[in-house]
Amino acid sequence: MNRSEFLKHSLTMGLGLPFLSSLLSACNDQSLFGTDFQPSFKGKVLIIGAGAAGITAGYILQKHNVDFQILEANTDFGGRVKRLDGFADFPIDLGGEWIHTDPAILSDLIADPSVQANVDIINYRPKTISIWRNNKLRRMNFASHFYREYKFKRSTWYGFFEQFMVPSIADKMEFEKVVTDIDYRGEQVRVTTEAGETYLADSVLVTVPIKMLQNEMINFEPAWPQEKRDALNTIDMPAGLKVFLSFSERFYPDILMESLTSGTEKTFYDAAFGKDTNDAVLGLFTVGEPAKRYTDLGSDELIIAAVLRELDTIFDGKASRFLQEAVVQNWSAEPYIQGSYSHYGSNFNSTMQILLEPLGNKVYFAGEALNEGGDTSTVHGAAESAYRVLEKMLAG
Amino acid sequence: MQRKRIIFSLILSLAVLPLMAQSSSPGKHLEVAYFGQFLVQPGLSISSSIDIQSWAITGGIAKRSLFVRPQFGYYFQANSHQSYLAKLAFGYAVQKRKRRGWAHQSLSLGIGYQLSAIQEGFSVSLADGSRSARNRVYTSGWMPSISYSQGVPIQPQLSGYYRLLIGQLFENTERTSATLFAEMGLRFYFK
Ligand SMILES: Cc1cc2nc3c(=O)[nH]c(=O)nc-3n(C[C@H](O)[C@H](O)[C@H](O)COP(=O)(O)OP(=O)(O)OC[C@H]3O[C@@H](n4cnc5c(N)ncnc54)[C@H](O)[C@@H]3O)c2cc1C
Repeated sequence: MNRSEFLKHSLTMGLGLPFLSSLLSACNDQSLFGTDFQPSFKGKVLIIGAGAAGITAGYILQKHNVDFQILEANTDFGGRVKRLDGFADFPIDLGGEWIHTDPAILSDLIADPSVQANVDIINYRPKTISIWRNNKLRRMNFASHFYREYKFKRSTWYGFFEQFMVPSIADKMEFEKVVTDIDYRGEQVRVTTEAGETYLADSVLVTVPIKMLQNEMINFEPAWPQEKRDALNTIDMPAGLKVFLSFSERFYPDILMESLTSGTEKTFYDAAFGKDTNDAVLGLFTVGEPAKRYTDLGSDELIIAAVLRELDTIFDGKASRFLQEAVVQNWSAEPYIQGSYSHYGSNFNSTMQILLEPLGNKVYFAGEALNEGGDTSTVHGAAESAYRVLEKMLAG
Repeated sequence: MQRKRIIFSLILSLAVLPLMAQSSSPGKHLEVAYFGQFLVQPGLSISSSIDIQSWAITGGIAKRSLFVRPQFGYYFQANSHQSYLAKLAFGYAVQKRKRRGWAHQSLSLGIGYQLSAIQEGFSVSLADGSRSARNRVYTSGWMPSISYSQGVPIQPQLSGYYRLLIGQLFENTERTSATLFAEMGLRFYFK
């Protein structure tokens, strides 16, 4: 069962809660990836994209002494994990924020018993939950009994990669390298960037968001087989957005939803929950249709104004009165992301298998949408996908 | 270790109690049950009822009573919380003699006090994924509740029963939450 399927099941059970993917780990029936593989692969690997999947792939290759290089279009690593410092006295996750599985996954991803470090985790169980329905704010605190999520207490997902994976691969990352062409006709794969630079490699691992592939931002030579393209187009990657607002006073519950079912798509939440802080920071997480209503507004100023209007209606003008600062992270407007995360339709398994099939045994795919272990649409799922794909690639 | 000892004593009492029981009347009893919050957070409950007033009807084949029921419940969610509920309920029960023993139904209103040890956070080791430095906080609150139970006889001194309890936990003015417990267990009648 993947994240979307799980959320759908939760909804039909009447548990429509945001991020309620607590059982994802239970749904993930495969044991974690084999970290002990001995690569028989000899050659160079090019990784396209330095998000959770790309960074993890580089980290694994580094550990196994495989020659590699990462080409990232943006000016920084992280992709959909991104940190905002200085907005509050704790770092803010502008993208992936929750740990949607047992936090022991962090150790599995590092896969190195010599790393003697601990990460502080919040057992995320919001206590006050309200729903705004028919112009009334209703308490639904009982829903807290169904939450089972985790968050970083002092760090962020970005901070996790920055601290524990990036140092060993920093010199292998190249930024502002927008890959436009991947030609796998020859003995080696030829990768070309927007600026016309070319790179040769024995294998390529593509970890760019599924939307970039759907929009054919990268040209493959030979072109994708039709079956693969059809499978790709069954996956949706809808609009996605986060807004953070800091206030001089706190006036909102831990979680505020518009309806039970919209909880998975639009949720206001206390971003300071469980952190060591007195700062009042409210987050808005939204994907899909509700997100599109904001992203269609066209500018961050208009988005903030719309959010404030909504909050003022719910909280009698307190939002505007206590507002200090606001920031928008519009993932749909990021040129190398263009949306939120993958939502599978039916045929999860067959679609996944078709998409994971490498091109010419040289061009492989990983990323949040392509974790055959099951946890798609998540940060840890993206990182896991790198393990799974590299295990196959390096086995030769 | 402590928990194992408690479970062992409970199992022992389950075995011994029927031997002490008497078949002629639905006298005092002890109930031992699975006690689950929203069914999924498992626990154990022990309760008993004491009649304040009772009426035998239709020649002793049925009995109505007003009772008080003390109850102690424990439930937990792994790595999340452990909660203890002490409760006193007042209710009305009807018990009927059947071929195999006593069937019963009751409705009660109760007031309980719940104490919870909540694990708010912890540290995870990157070396092996183990958890340490578990950060616990304690919360408590009153919980008024209403419950309905029904039991069917298994043997003259033993019946099986279920009870549904709906309560509202008041931890503070901001934090009140509705809760539902399902209880399924055995009632042992004794002398
Ligand atoms: C609003 C929002 C909230 C979320 N919340 C959570 C959460 O709480 N918990 C959770 O687990 N997950 C969450 N997610 C999902 C999670 O962030 C993603 O699943 C995960 O980060 C994706 O990692 P990835 O490596 O697959 O892709 P990305 O992180 O998107 O990495 C792909 C990289 O490829 C680069 N790239 C794109 N095109 C090119 C090109 N042509 N050439 C070179 N480089 C290119 C991009 O710049 C990017 O850096 C959230 C996502 C969003 C949008």
